[in-house]
Parts: sequence; C-alpha cells; structure tokens
Amino acid sequence: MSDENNLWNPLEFESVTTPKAILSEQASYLTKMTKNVLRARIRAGTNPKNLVFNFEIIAPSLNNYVLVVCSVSHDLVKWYPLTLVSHPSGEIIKCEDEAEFINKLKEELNRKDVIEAIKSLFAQSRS
Amino acid sequence: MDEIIAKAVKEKDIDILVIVEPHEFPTNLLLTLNSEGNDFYYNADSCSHVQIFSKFIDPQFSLIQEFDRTVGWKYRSPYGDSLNIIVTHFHDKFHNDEEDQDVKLDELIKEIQIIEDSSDIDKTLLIGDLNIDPYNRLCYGPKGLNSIMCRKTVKRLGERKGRKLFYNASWNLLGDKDHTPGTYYRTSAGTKYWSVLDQIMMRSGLIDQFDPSSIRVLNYIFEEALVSINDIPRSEKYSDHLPIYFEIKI
Repeated sequence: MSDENNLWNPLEFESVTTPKAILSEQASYLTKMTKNVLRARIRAGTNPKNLVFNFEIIAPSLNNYVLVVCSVSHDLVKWYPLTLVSHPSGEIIKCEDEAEFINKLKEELNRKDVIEAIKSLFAQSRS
Repeated sequence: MDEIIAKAVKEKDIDILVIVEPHEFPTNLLLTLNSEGNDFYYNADSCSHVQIFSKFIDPQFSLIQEFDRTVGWKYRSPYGDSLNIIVTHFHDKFHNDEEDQDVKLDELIKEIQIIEDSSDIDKTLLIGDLNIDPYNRLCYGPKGLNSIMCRKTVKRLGERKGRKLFYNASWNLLGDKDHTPGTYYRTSAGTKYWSVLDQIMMRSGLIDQFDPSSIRVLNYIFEEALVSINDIPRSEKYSDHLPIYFEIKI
C-alpha cells in the first residue's frame, strides 16, 4: 500500500501517564506485596460517555472472589478533572489534576475498611 | 511437602506445575513457590481434584472449561503458538468396577471433546492421574482414549474410526531400564506391583514440540529421595504417586 493515498497528517504520540497507568502501577504493587496470593487488576467499564476503570482485587484461592475497591471515570480526551468513586463508601470524589488524583487514590487504597478487606482475603486464602 | 515441590520446580525450572488430588489449600504452596520471587500464580478453577500453578495468568493462560474432575486451560505463547492443557483425575479401580470405569470414561471423553470444541486450537495435551495403565484398553482402545504408543503412527493416521488419536508418551515410563518402573506401587498378591497411572498424552499437532528424551519419573529432588532404598514411593512422607517431568517447546 502506497503512502501517497494517506490523507492523515503525521501523528505524534507523546509519552504520558494516564490515570489507568497510575491505577495499574498500584495494582502491580499489591500483587507483588501479597506474593501473588491476591491479584489486583484494572478492568475497563462500559460507560458510553466516559472511560471507566475499576480497581479490582481478586482472590484466586477463594474461587476468584472479586473485591472492587474504587472506580475512575474520565472523558476520552480530557482526562482531568476525573471522578474517583469509592466503593466502600459510595463517595464520589472529583480530582482536578494528576497530583490530586494520586493523593485521593492513596487515601482510598489505604482506607481502614479496604485494608481490613485485603487482610481478610489474604488470611482466608491461606486457611 | 510444599518445600520439596518448590525445590523440584526450582531445580527443573518448571513453568507449569500440576498437582492432582491435592490435599492442601493452594496458597501455602504458592507462597513457598514465591519465597524468593513472584514468578508463580495459582491458576484457580473450581475443580477440586486439580491444582495448577504457573508463571502465566489470563489472557496468556486462561480457563476453557471445568468439570468435577477435569479442567481445560489454554496457554498462548507470546510468539503466537498455543495449546490446550487438559488435566484430569480419573476414577480409580478400587472404588469403581470395570463397568463403572467404562461409563465414567465415556464422560471423560465427552469432557475432552467439549474442551477441544470450545477452543480454537488443535494442539491438546492431556495429563493427570488416569488411574489406569497405558496398556489398559480404556487407554489404547478405539472406544477408550484412543491413545497409542507410536508418534509416527499418530502423525500418519491422525484419527481412528473417526476419532482423533492421542500419542501416549507414558509408554516411555514403563519398565526399569532408566528409572523406577512406574509412578505408583501397590503391594498386593496378584498385582503387577508397579503402574503408570499418571500419564501424558497429546494430539498429533503437538508431537513435534514434545521432547521424548525429557520425560521421566522423578524419584530424587536434589538430594532428597522420594523413594525408599527399594525404589518404592515414600508415601508416608510425600505421596504414593511419583511426579512426572517433561518438556514441550512452545
């Protein structure tokens, strides 16, 4: 196929940190910290207006039990402000920029009820 | 037990570990496998007769179908090749007479068919505790697993009476030339003492990727003997079955 028919202007793809990449990095850390006993993953949701990503923790030894910790929703093109939804509390948190998102995500992942749930899943995976 | 399994995995650089008829919850073995790293995952399914641990997770290693005693997984190589891995724990002859085993083998054959039909890959590996020997008619017979000893015949014919053949690599484990004469030993008058109940079979398309020189019964792991001085499995310490190791290049 000859490029002479190509109507596109040159496309340049910048290296950027997406909200999904931030979530994925934290998912990898949790999987590593639990020696793969628990696995965290990011699953894309199905909202037609926005991109939605769920932060899920899976316990393979407990018949693949899934705990959804939080969800992130943002516009396809304009990632910020984004919406962070806390699943334990149902609270909807607006994050204006990446720094705020990282701060709020840290708070969300370290919620007392989330940590207790992770500890419980780990303990029950061993029993 | 977990320690010796983890040693074997490390010594042999194993990618996929299959435990049939497990007696332990999988997490402690997973933690032992990962004591020096995070290489292994427990590939969970609801089949209580089988546990699979591997260096792969979904989508590279994904569940196809699960049944009470049989489970089918699909491995996809990053380089494009794939295979179905079916693991089973077939009913033993101590709790099932010949007629029972006949009926239950029909169920296993249907389950294998369902798994293969659910997959887009024609390379299938069947492994597990079959609780029958390779020379049992349920193994080699055309109404059985249709699983024979010759690679060339399986590659040449592909099928028999309209059903796909398996190449049964477990024939290589019979006899005492290079190793213990089987994977299971039973002391009882009138028996043959040794059996190869733990078997490895594959469809024609996978044969060239199997290294026949690799298949062996493990009776030592590092310096630790899994067998007594008479080569009998140390069932009181480990298992009444000896493990099998083999290589598939994919």
